[in-house]
Amino acid sequence: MRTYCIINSSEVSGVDFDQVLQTSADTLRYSVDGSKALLKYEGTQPFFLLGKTEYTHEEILSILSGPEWTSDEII
Amino acid sequence: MPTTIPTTTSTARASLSPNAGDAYFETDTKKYIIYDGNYWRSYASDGSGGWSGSNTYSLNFDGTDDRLDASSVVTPSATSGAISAWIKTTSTAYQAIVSTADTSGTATWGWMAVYNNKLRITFRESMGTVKIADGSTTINDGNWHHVVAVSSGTAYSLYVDGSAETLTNSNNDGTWFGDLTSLTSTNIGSHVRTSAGTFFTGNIDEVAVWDSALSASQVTNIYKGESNGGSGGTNGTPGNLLSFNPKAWWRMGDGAEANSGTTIYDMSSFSNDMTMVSSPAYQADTP
Repeated sequence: MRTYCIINSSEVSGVDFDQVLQTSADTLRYSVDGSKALLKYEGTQPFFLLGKTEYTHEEILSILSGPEWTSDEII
Repeated sequence: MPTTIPTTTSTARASLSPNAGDAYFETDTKKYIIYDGNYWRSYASDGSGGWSGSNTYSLNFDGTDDRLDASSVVTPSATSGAISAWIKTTSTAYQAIVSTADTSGTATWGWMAVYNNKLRITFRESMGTVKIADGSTTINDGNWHHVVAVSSGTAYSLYVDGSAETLTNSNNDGTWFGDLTSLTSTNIGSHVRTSAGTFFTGNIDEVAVWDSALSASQVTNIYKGESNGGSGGTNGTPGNLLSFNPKAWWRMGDGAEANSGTTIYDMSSFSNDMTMVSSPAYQADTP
């Protein structure tokens, strides 16, 4: 079961990519304004994410569909 | 006296400076590769080509940031062609199946997508007029569907489950990859412009690309798992595409990747391998 967290982009440098399902800062998904980034993992919440709100797949899809994460420019 | 073919790997291949006729055995993909003067041609070492005789796996994309990236453009000079894929989704979002774009942000792109719950093909050159054809069949019902977009060079056709769609058009002139001037990438499961977006939520399987149009009867052959011009197949059954001579064929777990690792190998003879970005997952869920 995947779990999702949102962090501030300023915190990306502290991400241990061995503990999440993404592989690098370059390929993370960022919010439209670039201020936030999405992380996901399986199992226990990584130590460096303790205190961050955890989201289910359904919850994060709802968040990501909003204007903060999805540009309406695409045709 | 046996002849020993030199070995390489799919990664090391990129740094070779080959001459026409150079041949290697790739130790990671288990394929023979031969340079034809322009492209590497690859052949499965067991003689079966890309077809293992079965379709067991698809890739699941979670709709947040999963995608496949070829880091190049497949059939970049084709002015007609076709894209075929099998998809399964319940999402109502605008979501990419196969896309190409100029990632520098010039608003140049072409992609096949699910839009308004139906199949869409759309192209645009440098902020110019958007070319669109939308299908008529609802395809986000949670069932597997075979979807095909074809350009004759002058018009698009769309097919769902072997049947031609009634189209809603906007400037449908068949614009295709070779009509665009600055494409830089090909992706599956996302549309990547300056950044990745419109992620696919669900499963994708057996994606293939051609540099010439498929006929309606060929689309039916593919939907029934038949060979090119064949008969006797079963509706909704993916089959061996090699007789259709695709320029790329990604089997999503049933190719040389053998449902393991982060490379999805092109099982045509053109080596347009894809790399997983984030974490699309192999699933034993197929049409």
